[in-house]
Amino acid sequence: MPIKDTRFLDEQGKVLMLGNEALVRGCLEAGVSYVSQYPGTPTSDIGEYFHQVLRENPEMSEYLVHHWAVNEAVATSACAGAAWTGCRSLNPMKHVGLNVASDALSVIALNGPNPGGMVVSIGSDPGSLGSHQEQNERFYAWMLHLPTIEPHTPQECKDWIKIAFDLSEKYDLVFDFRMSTRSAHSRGFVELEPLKKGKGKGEFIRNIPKFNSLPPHAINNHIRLYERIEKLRAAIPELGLNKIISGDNKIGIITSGMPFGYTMEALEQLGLNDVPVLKLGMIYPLNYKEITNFMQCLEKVIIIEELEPFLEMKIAEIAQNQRIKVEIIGEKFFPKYNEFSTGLVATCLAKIFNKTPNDQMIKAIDYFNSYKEVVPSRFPTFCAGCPERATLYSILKATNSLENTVICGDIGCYVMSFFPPQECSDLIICMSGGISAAIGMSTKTEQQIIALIGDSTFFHTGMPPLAEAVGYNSNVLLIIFENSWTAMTGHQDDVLRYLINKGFSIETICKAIGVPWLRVEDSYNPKKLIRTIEEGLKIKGLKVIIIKRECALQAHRWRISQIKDLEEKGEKIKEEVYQVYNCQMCYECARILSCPAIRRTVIDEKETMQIDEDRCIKCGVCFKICPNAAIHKSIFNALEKEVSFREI
Amino acid sequence: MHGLAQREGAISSHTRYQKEIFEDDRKNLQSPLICYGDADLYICFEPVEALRRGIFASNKTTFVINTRTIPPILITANLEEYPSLEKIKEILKGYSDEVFFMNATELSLKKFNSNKQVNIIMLGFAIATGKIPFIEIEHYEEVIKEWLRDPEDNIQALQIGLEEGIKIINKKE
Repeated sequence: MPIKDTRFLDEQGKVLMLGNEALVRGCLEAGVSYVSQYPGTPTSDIGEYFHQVLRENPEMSEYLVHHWAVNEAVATSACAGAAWTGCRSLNPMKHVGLNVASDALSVIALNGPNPGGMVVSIGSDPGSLGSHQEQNERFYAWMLHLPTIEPHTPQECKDWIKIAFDLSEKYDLVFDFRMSTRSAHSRGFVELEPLKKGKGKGEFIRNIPKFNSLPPHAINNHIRLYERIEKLRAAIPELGLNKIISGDNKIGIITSGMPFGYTMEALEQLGLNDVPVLKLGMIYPLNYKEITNFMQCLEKVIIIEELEPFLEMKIAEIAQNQRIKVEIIGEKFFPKYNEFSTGLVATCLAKIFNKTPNDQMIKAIDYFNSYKEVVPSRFPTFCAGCPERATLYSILKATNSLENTVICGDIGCYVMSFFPPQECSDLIICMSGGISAAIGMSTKTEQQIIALIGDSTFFHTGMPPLAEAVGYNSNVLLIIFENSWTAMTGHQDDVLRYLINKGFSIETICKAIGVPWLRVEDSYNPKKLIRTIEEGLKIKGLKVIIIKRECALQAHRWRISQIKDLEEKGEKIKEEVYQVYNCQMCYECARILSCPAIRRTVIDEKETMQIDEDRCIKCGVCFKICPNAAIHKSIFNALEKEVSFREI
Repeated sequence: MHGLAQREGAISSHTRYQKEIFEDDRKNLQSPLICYGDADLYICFEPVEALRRGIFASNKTTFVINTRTIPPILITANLEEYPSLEKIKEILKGYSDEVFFMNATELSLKKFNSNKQVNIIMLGFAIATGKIPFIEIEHYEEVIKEWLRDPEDNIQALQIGLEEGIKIINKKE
């Protein structure tokens, strides 16, 4: 039998952990007692581990609270509130979450987290591996004066988050603990240290100048912020976060985080083992003396960092101010976009040092480029049976393949709408950017405008633009996917779930806001949905259609578990099977619905579509839309117990 | 591991390890990612995915590949072409001679009436190449017993993958 995962609770040992798991472990060793976040890759699982720990050990809830927030700004202020009672709070968010949180954070950074400590753990995403863009959020650290620690290994994730909390408390500064998708989701060994209970209860002690950053206190807090940052700056060399790998070469390297690993292996590969490397654990602020000492005897310093030159700018500034004669290079040789790799760093360093990259690597790249055209694309797409896919199908049908129609997409699973073959999204901005863009666009064009939004995004920031659209009676058809989960980030047991359990209803909210034309539909009934979309598009002004159908992944899981339970009790279950006979190859199911449970194959020398029984969740949409009635439904055990998808 | 696996995306993950840690930082593995051309072993759960991530292979690489295809939606829609297994093999042979195929999905369905054991069968196949150092078969069994559901089935699946794998690899030589 699987044993209980005790890695978060053991007092000692050496265990394998992901970067994010190690970060959580570090928080438990640091006595963190409040965590709040909105899920977002690569930080979603941080909350999941806290949630898991609390679920398995309910007694810990006396001194540890974990909240799924409705959005990042709420989470950040909530963390400040907790810190101001004297406890330690953690606020994880993805890089773009920081845009939402920055309003709150800009003030909290001025005020300072004391008497408690506060760390914002930011998941950057060079390479846009799980985000809609790869913004370089490090500039916020500079703008808001968030001292920033950037770990490289899971061990550093654990050890350094503790240091971050100690320093946050000591210097009254909000710390940024900068993860990346790569560091968050890489595994390595972690030496555990004893756990520490967080503060169960605290108390807010009134301090008007500190917690009210308005004039005159705003200026005073700004002055105080500089004092705090300068004290920390002076202490950096003693913190043990930065280290030098020494060497005699006159060209040196300064780097941090994941690029440090690529750099070391690239140097080894190029036979450049005499190049000195300064690995920065704290990337903001920088200690002038430490940087100067490293650069003093060098002719050239290469800055290796992903995305826009942040360190390069700050280090060039130090060199100039301290009058050091050293050439600083970086962005001239390294790309300012995408994730780095050992291969890329080796290629760039080879140019700088006038070396030839190793043969094995060059051959691999060349050979790959010689055949890569043969590899078919594998775009992400909606799951088999997804109610959002079925909705897009209905939109395509109702608008004659988007004739004279603009689709304003948004963030959620439906972000995938733009992929072929459906290509059913014309623009994507940010959380609730779709409905917002639609408001402005509708004042300037006679085209039909359809905006998409999911329930979690609706909650995050979607209600304000909906209220505005009602106010101006914008000529927009808004489609709200009520699938009852924050699906794209992995179905967290989040605030949406809690609200659903308490009877939260988007329909009621829409009515209360004053939506003039409101329908509730089920995308598993495409014919009716198509008619409703057509009807809505004919009416001027704001129209809202709520698609009420549970996320297919969760609905399928639930149904399978129900069936298993019943079968274990000896009950027989009614079973549906969909099969294809006499397919006319019209591609309605493959190009317009494009369900991944359908595959094209050849049977008896005749090309046909076929349904993969192990992938089909039996939503029945393909059966309902096949224009040639070639998809057949067979029912076994017709008189036995039926297990349908649950109502939401 | 990234790429929206649950949403039909293409995903890959890298594993690197060393037995002992050296005092000299320059001698240790420092990156979780393999460098282009530096992979010793590919475990491919779908044939065309071996090509997609081929850039990490070279003449020292061994490929073990499950033959069951998962056609991307544009293949079903007949808007792109899926290369034949022969073509895939021919391309991979351009990296290395060690390219082995096994229908692990069919084996799993036949022995366990489910495709859930495919991964462990593929692991057995990978072990059969002898390209995974320092880990003995007992270690795998220990982990399976401790962490996986249905450990008996999974230990059997590991054995099947290993035995069938040895047959496939020997046949070639």
